[in-house]
Amino acid sequence: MNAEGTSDLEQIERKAYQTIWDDGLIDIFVGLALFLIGVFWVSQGSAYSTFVAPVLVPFWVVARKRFSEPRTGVVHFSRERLAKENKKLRLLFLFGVFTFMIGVFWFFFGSHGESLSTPRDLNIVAGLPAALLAVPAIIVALAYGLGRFLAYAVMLLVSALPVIYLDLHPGWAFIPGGLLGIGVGSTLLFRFVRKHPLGG
Amino acid sequence: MSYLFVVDSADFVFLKNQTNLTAGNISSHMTKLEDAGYVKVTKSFVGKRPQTMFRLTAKGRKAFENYRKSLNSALSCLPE
Repeated sequence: MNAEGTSDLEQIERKAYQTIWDDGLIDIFVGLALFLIGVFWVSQGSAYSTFVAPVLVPFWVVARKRFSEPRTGVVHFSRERLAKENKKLRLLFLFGVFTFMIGVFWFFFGSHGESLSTPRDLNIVAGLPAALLAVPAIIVALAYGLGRFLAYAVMLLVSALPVIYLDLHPGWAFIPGGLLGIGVGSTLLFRFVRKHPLGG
Repeated sequence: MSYLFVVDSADFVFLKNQTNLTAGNISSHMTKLEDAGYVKVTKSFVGKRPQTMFRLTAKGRKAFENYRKSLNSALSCLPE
């Protein structure tokens, strides 16, 4: 603690902010999104996979409002905190655009061009989507202090390896990470409900 | 007071969960803080559920800052 006691107050604020993510809903929805994207993509329904994330986001917002807030209570954070979170979201969005551009570039030039060619028996492009998604997962883990997102990132990277080496469909690399998210989220949700019974 | 100092506003359930105090305890604390003009209480309904929001007033923030300063200066006078 410094002379003004600010570090203790920062700790209190951080702890209060962390409670938003303790319900496991974000893990379940991210896991479900990854799983569905993978399944749709593998089953040649990649057009459906593009709608998964935009469809699930409103569900997450409603689920938090209806399910979590009556249990944890409502809190409105300071303007400084909200500005900080908006900055993180903007950075994540910019990074998303950047990784998407890398993916597009690699897809068009890496798979056909000579300059970015890879060993012929390795289909690196197939593992690229999962590997690119691992990076925002790492950013979320570091920015929001959610260590479990590092595990999802590792799972995405590990899942990309068999896809590359066995030349599988890229969608397969999303499914284990999705299942891990659903599993971890469900465990957190179970603990959350036990810790915060309705009206308790 | 610390929790209300670091956020903009919070409801009764949130404060109860964060502080682990009983409902009666929080209620009596908040009544005293409201009487002193340190906390503004807003009661409303979200659907059929009552919601009581608490927010520190400018007077409350100033008082808490002074309290922190006094506490820190008192602690700094203690021998190592």
